[in-house]
Amino acid sequence: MEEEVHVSLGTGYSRVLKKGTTWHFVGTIASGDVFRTKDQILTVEASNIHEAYIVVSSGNLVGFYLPVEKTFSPLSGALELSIKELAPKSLP
Amino acid sequence: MNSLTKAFFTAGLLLVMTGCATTGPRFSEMTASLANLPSDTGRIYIYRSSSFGAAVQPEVKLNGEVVGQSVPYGFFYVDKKPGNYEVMTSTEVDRKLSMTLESGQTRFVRLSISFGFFVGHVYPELVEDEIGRQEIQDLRYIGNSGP
Repeated sequence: MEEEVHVSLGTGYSRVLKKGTTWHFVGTIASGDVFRTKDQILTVEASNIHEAYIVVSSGNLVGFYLPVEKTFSPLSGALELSIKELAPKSLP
Repeated sequence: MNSLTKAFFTAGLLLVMTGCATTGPRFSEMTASLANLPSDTGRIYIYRSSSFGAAVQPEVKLNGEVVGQSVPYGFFYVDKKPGNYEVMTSTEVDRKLSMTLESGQTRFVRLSISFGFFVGHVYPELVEDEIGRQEIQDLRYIGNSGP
């Protein structure tokens, strides 16, 4: 993530995707590609709190994937991300 | 001082005293004696770093199983197999945190209080490792219950 991103969850809460965090591809759902990071804690919050991964489509953050519930939580509007793709590590 | 003020003062004093009454070794004193993390498990520290709402001390459940209690200035930990977990506390409402746990991973769950209608709500939140590790230093080990 090249720039910090402020995300409004629509539940009255907000989250920040921190600058400099590295996100790893973990899979694809109908809404986009799912990425997770170990560089920050990411949760989404309404009446309860859920660990979350980000869902990206065409370079835009479109929502969150909740790995425990295995559900997609969309954003009300897509957010453009400033990201730099890292080359995959070469195999030995 | 009228009777209402006295009642509030007494209640406040009781809450502070309750919060200060947590016993057990501090995390910083028992770091060396903490059990090593068994292979193929992860560790979840659950703690409460404030005395706010000290009288409200609900049980803490992990995937429906009681593993400890929400005690002000107290902490406990559980070692679990990798997988999906739900931390839950119940007062007048249930408050849940869903999270994953990997082998060799340590996670920190802070129990905080929010206002409720009749009693405060204790809600679990996942915090950054460095923040959890810092906040837990002076908290006291209260042990856990259940397996």
